[in-house]
Formats: sequence, C-alpha cells, structure tokens
Amino acid sequence: MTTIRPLTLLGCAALVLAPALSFAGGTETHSISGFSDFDDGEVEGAAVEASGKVTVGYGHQKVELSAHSTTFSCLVDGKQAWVGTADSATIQRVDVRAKAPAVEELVGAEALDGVVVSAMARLPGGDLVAAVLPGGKLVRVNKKGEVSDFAELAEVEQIWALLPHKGRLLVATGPRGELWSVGTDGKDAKVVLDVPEKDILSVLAVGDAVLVGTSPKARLYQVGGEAGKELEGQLIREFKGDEVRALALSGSKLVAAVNDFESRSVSSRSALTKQLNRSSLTGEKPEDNNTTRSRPSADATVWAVDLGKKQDLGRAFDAAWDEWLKKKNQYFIDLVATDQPGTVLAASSQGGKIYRVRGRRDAAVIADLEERQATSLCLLDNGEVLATAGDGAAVYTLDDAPAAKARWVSDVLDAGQPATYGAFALDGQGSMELRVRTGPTKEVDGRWSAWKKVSLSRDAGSGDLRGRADLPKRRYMQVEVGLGDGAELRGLTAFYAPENLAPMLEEITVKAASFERDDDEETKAKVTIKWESESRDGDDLVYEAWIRSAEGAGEPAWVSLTQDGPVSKTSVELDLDTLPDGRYEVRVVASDEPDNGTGAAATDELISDPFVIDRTRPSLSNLRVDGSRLTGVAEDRGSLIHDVAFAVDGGDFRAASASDGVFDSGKESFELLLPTLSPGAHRVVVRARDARGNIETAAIEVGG
Amino acid sequence: MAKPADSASPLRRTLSALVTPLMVAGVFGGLYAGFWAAGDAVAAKPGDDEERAAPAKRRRPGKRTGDPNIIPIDEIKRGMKGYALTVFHGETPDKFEIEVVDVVRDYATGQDAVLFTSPDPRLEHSGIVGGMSGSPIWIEGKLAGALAYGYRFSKDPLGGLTPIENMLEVSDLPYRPDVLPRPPRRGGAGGAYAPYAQGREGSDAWADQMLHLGTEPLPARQRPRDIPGPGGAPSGGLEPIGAPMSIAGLGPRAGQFLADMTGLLPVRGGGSHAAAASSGEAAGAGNKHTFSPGDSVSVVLIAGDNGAAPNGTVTWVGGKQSEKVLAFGHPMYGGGPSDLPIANAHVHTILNSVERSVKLSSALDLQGTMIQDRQPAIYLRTDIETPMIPVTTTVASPEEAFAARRYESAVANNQDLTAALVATLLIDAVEEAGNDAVELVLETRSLIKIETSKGPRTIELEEETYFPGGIIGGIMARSRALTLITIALDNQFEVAKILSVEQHATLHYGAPVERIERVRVADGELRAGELVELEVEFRPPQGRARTQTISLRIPEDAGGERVVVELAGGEWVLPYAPLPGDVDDLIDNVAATFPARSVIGTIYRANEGLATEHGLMADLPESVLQSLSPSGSNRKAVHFKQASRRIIRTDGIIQGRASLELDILPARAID
Repeated sequence: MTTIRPLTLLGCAALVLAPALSFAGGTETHSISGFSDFDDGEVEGAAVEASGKVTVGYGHQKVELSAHSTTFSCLVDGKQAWVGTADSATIQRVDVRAKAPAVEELVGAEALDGVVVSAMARLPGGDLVAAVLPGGKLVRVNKKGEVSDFAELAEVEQIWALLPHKGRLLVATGPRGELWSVGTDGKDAKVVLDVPEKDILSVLAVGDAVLVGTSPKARLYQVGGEAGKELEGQLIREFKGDEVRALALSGSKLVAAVNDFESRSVSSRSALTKQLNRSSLTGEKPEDNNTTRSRPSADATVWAVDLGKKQDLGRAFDAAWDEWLKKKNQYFIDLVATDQPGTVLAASSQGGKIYRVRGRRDAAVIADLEERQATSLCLLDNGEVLATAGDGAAVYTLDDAPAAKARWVSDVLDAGQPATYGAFALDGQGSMELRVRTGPTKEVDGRWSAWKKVSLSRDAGSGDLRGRADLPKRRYMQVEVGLGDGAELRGLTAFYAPENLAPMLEEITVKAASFERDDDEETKAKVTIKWESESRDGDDLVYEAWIRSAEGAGEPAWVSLTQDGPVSKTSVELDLDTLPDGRYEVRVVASDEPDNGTGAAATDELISDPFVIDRTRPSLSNLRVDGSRLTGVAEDRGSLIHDVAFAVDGGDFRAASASDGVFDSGKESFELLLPTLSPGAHRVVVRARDARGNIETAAIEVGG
Repeated sequence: MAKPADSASPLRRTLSALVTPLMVAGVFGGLYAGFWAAGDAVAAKPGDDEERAAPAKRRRPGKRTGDPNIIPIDEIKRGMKGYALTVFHGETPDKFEIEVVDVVRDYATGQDAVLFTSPDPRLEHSGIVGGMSGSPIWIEGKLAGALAYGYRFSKDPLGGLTPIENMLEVSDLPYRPDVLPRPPRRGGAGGAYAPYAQGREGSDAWADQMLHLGTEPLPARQRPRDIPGPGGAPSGGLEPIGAPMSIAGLGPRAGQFLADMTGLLPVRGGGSHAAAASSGEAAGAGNKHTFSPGDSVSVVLIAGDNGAAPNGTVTWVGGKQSEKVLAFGHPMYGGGPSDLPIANAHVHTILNSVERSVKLSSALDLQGTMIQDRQPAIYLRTDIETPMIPVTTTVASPEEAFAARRYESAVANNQDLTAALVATLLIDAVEEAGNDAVELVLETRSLIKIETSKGPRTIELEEETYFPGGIIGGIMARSRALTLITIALDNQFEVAKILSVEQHATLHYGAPVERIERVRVADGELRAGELVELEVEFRPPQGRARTQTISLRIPEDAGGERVVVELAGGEWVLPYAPLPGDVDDLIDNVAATFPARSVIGTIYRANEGLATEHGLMADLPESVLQSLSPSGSNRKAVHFKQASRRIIRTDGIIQGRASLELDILPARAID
C-alpha cells in the first residue's frame, strides 16, 4: 500500500508506484494496487493474483479440531482422507463426501504416544501407515483404528515423508539422510539412498525415478532411473537455502518449495538449557515459552523447471530453473499439484495463506485460512484440495469452482491523524461492492464504526467505480471489496484530508563567527540565524524571518530577512555591515502551506533571545615605552577586551598581559616586555581585540 | 463463678479482640499455637460468661458427654485438688498431686485451660516435664483433661491443662487415608494397579536445590521444619510443653539435623537392659500393649538400630477393645489427618533442666497409628497398622582398621519427613565412622525400591562428593538419592511408595578434586569434521595447576557456524532429558547424571530441537521446528540447542565449567 499525495491518480500505475508527491490543499490518498498491497489484506473466496488484481477465487469449507493445536499432515485416497495432528499425535478420519468435511478421531493420543503424525500412506489392503515423532515410529492402523507396529528402521529418529512406489513404501528419514524402501508388509526394510544431509524432507516419484529434497542444505537428489543407480544418488540441483521442504510434479513442471532461514544464534543456549533442565526435572512448563520472539525469519521460494512432455529428469539437471514465487518472512510447508497441468498450490507459514502458482509472475493467494499456518495440502479425486491448518487446528476443503461469495478486506490503513474521508475509487471490472469503516485504533474494536456501504457509480471518463460515504472522522480506516462473478479489482484509491497539525518551532540560535587567540584576521561580518522546527504531521514546511532592534522604547518595525518570500531552508545569514551596532531580535514564522495551501495552512511563530551586533573596534591609547617595557590602554565600547598582542618588526604576534592580571572588562591597561632588540629603531605593532573579534592596531617606534 | 482477680480494662478488651486473630493464625500454623501471643491478657471479666453463654448458636468446641466421671471446665475452681498420672520410670504410671490455680478462658481458639501447680516433691525439682504431655488429671475424682502446657525456665511446677471435652471431640474423628498423600494400590483383576493416584503440586524447592535456578525456595505448604517453634516465641508465656523426641543411636550432628528437619526437641534416649529400641516391626501377640491412661507413648519416626520418637503420655483410652487413645493434650504438628506409627514407651528417667525438664524414654513396639494430629490432642488407634520403610545403611571408614558398619533401621513413611529421616541415618552412620575434619570424599551407592502405578522398580544411584574439611550433614542431605526420595513422594503426578532404601557409604581421605580453571584452543584453525584440541588447566585445592589436552570432534556439518564449546565437571552438567509425563519419567530424569569423575565436553550449536513429554526431538529442520512451536499457544514443549557430547573419564572429581564461542570453518576441500 502506498500513501501518496495525488495529482491524477486513477489508472496511472506510474504514479501509484511513485513516492509521496507534494500536493497543495491537504488531501492525501490511500492507494492500493499491485500484488504486494493486496496480499497485505485478507481474502475470503477471492484470489490475489500476482499480476496485481483481486479476482473471484475458490470456495472453501472448514471444520475445526478444537481439541488439537495443529493439524500437520494429510492423506487422501479417493473420497477418503485422513489428517495427522501435532502437539499430541492422533489420526483423524475426514469424510469429504458431504459439502463440508466431517472429522472423527480414528486413532487417539494414547495409542500413538507421540507428538506429531508427520506422514501417512495407504497400504494396498486399505490399512494406513503412519509415521509418529519423536522416535521415528512406523505404525500400521487398520480401519478400526487399531494400531500395530509396522516396521522399525535402524537409527531413524525422524520420518518426514512416505511414498508408495512400485509396490513398496519409500520412507524419507532423518537424521542420517536416508531414504528407506520397505515392503508393504513392513518387512525387508533397506536403505536405497544415503545423502550427506541430515534430513530427507520431501520425496516425489517421477516415472521410475524418485527425487528427494534435503535439509540443512537445500539439495535435490535423484535415485532410481538412469541417473541415480548408486546409493548416493545423483545431485540434481542445489538451491540457495536451507531446505527443500516440498516437491510436486504438475504436468511437465517439476516444482520445489525451498526455504532459506536466517541463522539462529548459539548465545541463547545457556537460558534454553536451564529452561529444559527445570522443565524436565519438575514437569512444569516454562513460565515464558513464547517462541515467537526467537523465531528466525525466512525467505521462501517456489522454483520450477520444465521437464518436457517425456518428463525428462535430465532437464532438471541441465535446464534453468525458474523462480515462480518468492515471499519474505515466511516459509512454505507443502506443495500440491492441482488437476490443471503446470499449476501447484503452496501452503505458507504466514497468515494461513495458500498460493496458487502456475508460472513466473503468475501467483495468486487463493485461500487465507483463519489459522496462522497452512501445513499440508492433498488433492482430492474431484479436483478439490484438502488443506490442514497449524497454530489452530482445522481441515479445509478448497473447491474447484469459483466461490459463491468473494471479498477482499484491506489491512487497517493509517491516515496519521484523524481524517475526513472523501471519495473512494475502484479500478477494475465487473460487479463490485465497497464497504468501509473507520476507527480510532489500529486494532479493530468496538469503538470502530460499523461497515458502511459506499454507493458506487461508473465514472464515464476513467471508467472507475466511484462513490462517497459519510464516515466518522477517524485516523484508521478499512475497506472491503466484494466481487461478483467474473469481477476483477485492480486498484483502490481512498481520498482523505487528515486533520492539519500546526508546525512547531522549537529553537532559534544566532551563531556569530568564532575566532581563536592566534587568529590574526578580524572575524567575518556575518551572523548565521538557524532554527529548528517539527512539522508534527509530516507536512513540508516553509519559513519567513524578520529582524528588529531590541533597544529603546516602542516597537520598532520588523525588517524581513526573506524578502523573496518563504524559504524551505532553516537558516539565514545576516550581513552585519548592513546594521548598526546594537541589540536585535529575530522572528521566524513556520508554515505548512506547501501541503495545505495558503488558506488552510497552519503556522507557528518564535522570537529569538536578544543578541548583540557589535562591529566597533576597540581603541588603543597611552602607548608608552620605558626601556624594554611598553604600556598602554585598550578600550572597547560594545564588549570586553579579549586580548592584546604585539609584534616587532613584522614578526609573529605575542601576547601582552593585562596590568591587573585579567582581561575582564571593556577597558584594560596592559603592559608588555619587549625582547632584547638590536641597536637601532624598531617598529612595534600593538593589537587589541574585543570579545566579538573586532581588531584595532597601533604602531610605535622604539630604539633608534 | 468466681470473678477473676484483675478485671479486664477496656484496653485489655481491645487487646483481646486484636489477639484473637493472631491466635487463630497461630493455631492454623500448627505445632506451637501461641498462648504466648495472647499472654495472660486473655482473662475473663464480669459478664464474659453471659456473653459466652449467650451465643449458644456459636457453640464452643468440645464434646459435652454428660459423663459423671468427667468434670466440666465450668465446674473447676481455684483451690480444687486432684491428681495426675504419668510414668516417672519404667512403664507403669505413678500419681502426683495437683491443685488448681485458675481457669484461663480462651487459651486457644475455642479452648480454655486450667492452671495448676503440684506439691509433689518430684515435680518441685523438675517442674513440668516434657513427655508428661497428655498425663491425665483428675480433679475432685473426675477426669478433667490432660497436662499439656508449661513455662520454660519456670521456678515452680506450674502447668496448664487441656480440657478433656476438647480432646474427646478429636476421638470422634475418622481415620482419613483418603486425604493423605498415598501411593497407588494394587487391586482389581490380575493385580493391576489402580489408576494414577493423584499427586499434588510439588514445591519445586528440591529442583532449585539441584539446579540453583533461583526459583522461589520457600515451600508452598507447611512442613514440619517450617512450623514456628518456641524458639521464635517470646519467653515467659505458657506454651505447649511439646513432645521431646527421644533419639537413640544417633550422633550429635545427626540428632541436630533431625531436630532441624522435624522441628522437635531431641533428647538422647536409647535402649537399656529393660527396653531395646523399637524394631520398627508391628508388635506381635506377645508384646501387644493395651494402653491405659498415664502410659508413656511415642510417635515413631525412626526405629531399629537408630531411633527417633517424640514421646508423651496417654490421656484417655476408649473403644470396645481399648483401641482408641488420646494423648499429648496438644498437637504434635497440628497437621490434622496423619498416619505415623506409634509405640508404647519405656521411661528411663527424668532429666531435670532449668529450661525444661524432659523424660528420657525409648520407644518399644509398634502398637498402631496416630490418625489425627489436632490442637487439643493427638488421636491414636491401636487397631490400625502403619508399616515403616526399612533402611539399611552401611559405611566404610577411611581408616581401614575400622570395620565396616551396617545399620538396620526403619523410617516412617511421610511425604515431608521420609527423605529427612533417611538422610539422618546416613549422616549418623558417616558421623560415626568417619567424622574426620579433614579432606574427605564420600562415595555413596543408593538402592531405592519404589512402587509406582507402573509397578515396582529399583533405582540405583552412585554419587561422589568432596568435603574439604570434614563431612557436612546438610550437604549430604542434598544428595541426588535423597532428592529422588523427596520427589518420588512429592510431585505433580503421583505419590510413589518407597518400599526400601539401601545406602552404602564409603569414605576416602584425600582430595582427588580438580577445578577447571582455564580453557584455550590449541589449534589455530577450526574446521568442520576435525578435532579441536583444547588445553585445559586443572587446579587442585592446593598445589600447582596441571594442563591436559582434551580433543572434541567438531560436527561435520558445522562449517560456517559459530558454536559454543563447553567443558564441565560431570556433576555440573545435566543430560538433556524429555519432559516428564509421569512420576517414572521424573525419577528417570533425576537419576540421569554424568559421573563426578569426568569432564563433559559439549559442542552446542545454533540449531534447536524440541523436548516433549514423548521424548526429545533433536535438531529439527527449521520449518518443522517452527510449525511445531506455534506462536499462538504457550506450549509445554521446550526448545533446546543441538549438542554433541563427549564424556572424558578422569582420575579425580572435576568441578567447574568453562566455555568458548568459536567460529568453525568449512571442512577442507582437499584432504
């Protein structure tokens, strides 16, 4: 979302992307366009397309599993589906025959005795095989939900994926980076791939060959087929990142979800170890176990390569991979190929979003689960997709048909100040409805106004839908766009005028030229007058400055220092030669006229402390020489005598002394001791300087 | 009714009103409900009787039996004479005369007291004697109550009596094993265990003791040692004379430790030719004792080769089989429902003391159970048996010429006391065999048999502790074995049953102890998969430090990471353990340790795993870790850093810890 100060906004992409523009009159806009802006909002039945438009998306049905905190894995077979839970491992049977899914527990927590059902597969007889963590247990579950051991894989602690393949079951494991092959009776388990990475997180069959994705290096290996006959397999691709979390084959497109995490720090180990020791020795949960703070951020990318009609895996090795979708601050957890070739859905860790991706720059948010994560995706026979949610357990079925109701709701938009809202304009096509509401807080609460419908009419000139609503004057605003069948929303502009806050002048400083004791030159006849101000509401400011004498009776007239009109700089230089000596003061007026126009501009005024202009030089008198001793009197009218110095025959100046020991008044007797001079006449120059840097000199001849 | 000599002033009435809540708090607090708090300010005044009688709706505590053999408190007057029964020597009670001095109203909440003095020459010298608590007193030929209170440093045999009506009310209370912390019981088909017996929230003080985590060390509920005793009270007031804890076969340090832990006054007793110390076994038919008023009675905490038994006197005996017994006239701990074993007792003599004379006694055979511990009395039942926990303690002295010792004892089964009682036995055995004030190493091997809802099991623990200047009992009591007994009885899952304890202690002279002083990396370049050579400076308690090189293998995939390398003494590190889901898990976690004579080298890495009740999930892929650690709930699972460990055995005990943060280069591309 971009907040800009408009000239002509609608339908002008270049302007939408432009930075803030100065515009008189105090009007500003919330302008929403592009994938990123729309992606910041939420959708229900709508899709946010990568091309920067919101369209009607898929409908969905949902069932919550309130007894669990996360659903983690899914398995579908025809019209049957199962989901595995996390926090405590259970298997839930999902009936997807009805419009809305129905869930019943097939295997409870006591039977599985684990934290998570990480993967499931179906055996030929109809039984399930489920992987349970921790411990990497593989159990068989019959239709009654009875659990028995299926297979034991030596030194396997984690199982991340199960794939029936060529009459056997492939098991992707950690922490030894092994792909196991197990008979469907649970016997004859053997390692068929052993990669250097710790974990095989994803596995995908492509013809006879099998591809696996690994962690903690994001690598793609092939085993089986012509290229991967060795136990080590063949490294096909190494992505930048930490893990290939999911793989999918859609038509001829091989797609990989790759996550790249920011590294964790090892410095927290002491606190974590203490916390673990305490919890393991008392059974009490940590007092503060909120893991959000210590969660490293991630970048997630969907990569794809075209294998061609023959699904030639050699192309995965040789051909360039395309970056189909890249998202920051999230990671992808699962991919599923839809029944449309070349299209995959990606489950995201952020906001429960599910992206549809089908090419470079062709991505759309097609579902926004109410829970915080989308954790797994499975394709049902009828083309619908079953999705599970994490951080809040739920099962969704995403329809293959357009949603009956589609709406996009913006993030809460901030005007910076309580604002008067004007017109709303929608750029797009088809039937759209607009509702808006305003409130005083960033979080929507009871103090917000109710949604108010905005009557829209098509603007003949631009083709935009425009309308107005009488909204309470509030700082925050939110919009909701309902989309009719076939409608597209490409952009939205909301005009508003934030309450104008007057600028504030904080300080005026008058800075005279400075000098050092050994400076031989008189200071420049300039004084810099600077001021500091704050706009308070982000408005650009301009300034005018005046000066007047601060002496004598009455109110002398102000003399402008900015005769050419308001300036945007925050200082002016004063030429001291244009003013007689005396005490002066400066007045500065700041105005937010550039952003609010002269009629509505707010101003602030500040007068400086009085300051002295003194260009009168000190005088030197009574210069007398007695032997090598020279005395005299230096006197200044406007300030104090700063120092007296002398030079002999054009040499360097040397300091004289005040007769009373201190230069602390406007009239100072001084004396100096001349150096031993060679016989003959010598020229001594005496220099007196006042506190403002004004210099007077006098010459005297000695000797001879 | 006679008016008190000093009618209360308005100020006194105000004080009385203020003091009453204090007294309530004192009674609620347990053992030494404070008459001292009220002092003698609580005196009756004219009109009090009417006020007290008027609110009949507010019936005063006590059982009004109407028994003509009982004299109600209201009929007791100054100057009345009577007698009391108590055992001065042996096992047969003797009479001594008393004379009523006055009646003190509201001595404790709802309870009056009768002040009396005794002209008996035996008491003239001793004053009121600890151990006489409960001695029945008859006034005018009727049972009035139990001797229960006295003054410390008293010059006269002036005592206080708890009215029998208050005591009899306690005799109506039931045995309440259902509310006591209890272990699971075997029952049902096939001898299956009953569902989890309900544990209760532990105080975690023991976890703090082990981990030094800075958690609140104060216990969450009253424990014997935390109940205020007379030491905290201003002197000069009438106070419960308490039950002197007769200790036998315990040295001074063990006795003091026991006194500290139980809050009871220890008195050295012991066996005699007339009375062997209690065996800890229930009395057989031959030595089954039928209690009579005036008999000496003990609550048995330790029996066998060692003994510890608070002693008092039986006040009243009732029931068809004389199975109901009231004693003490005041509480022992005031904890209400109880199941500590009791025994008849033999009195050796009375030890006269200016502060408080006490009976020197020995507990004899177990005769039943103390089922209630209340303000006016303890209530004993001889038809209810409570088994004790057998404890075998052996100790080998550092002097080889000293023969090894073996002691067979038994301790009471009590959630708060058992661990302290077992510790007392170990402290005592070590004190006897090797209380040498020199550098010592104590090796202990403990075999603790317990029973949980999963069945019986034996936990074996070996520990070594270095004492630079002789054994410190308090430190011994912090051993992991004793901690384990504590948590087995006191945890949030269930109360385990302690079946038996064996503790074998071996003492060695010398100081095979070194402290990790300094660690430095010997290599310039640290690469993944290679060994990091660490030069470790070990410093003994005295003498020069020595340097040893210890190698740790850097994980092959640690290239490019910053890791923490830590070296620590075996007892300074705890193995990673999953979160406990039941008491057996908890015991496993507490029992899991590294040997004291080892250096634990650990390489901590940035990646994290998840500890759950179902086990550890080490080094999870980051996306899985985050998915299993949702932000929207405060999960029970706990993160931990990935760690690889090496145990390096050492000749001596290693103390201390040192760590370094190191950057690891990738593995060499060229071998």
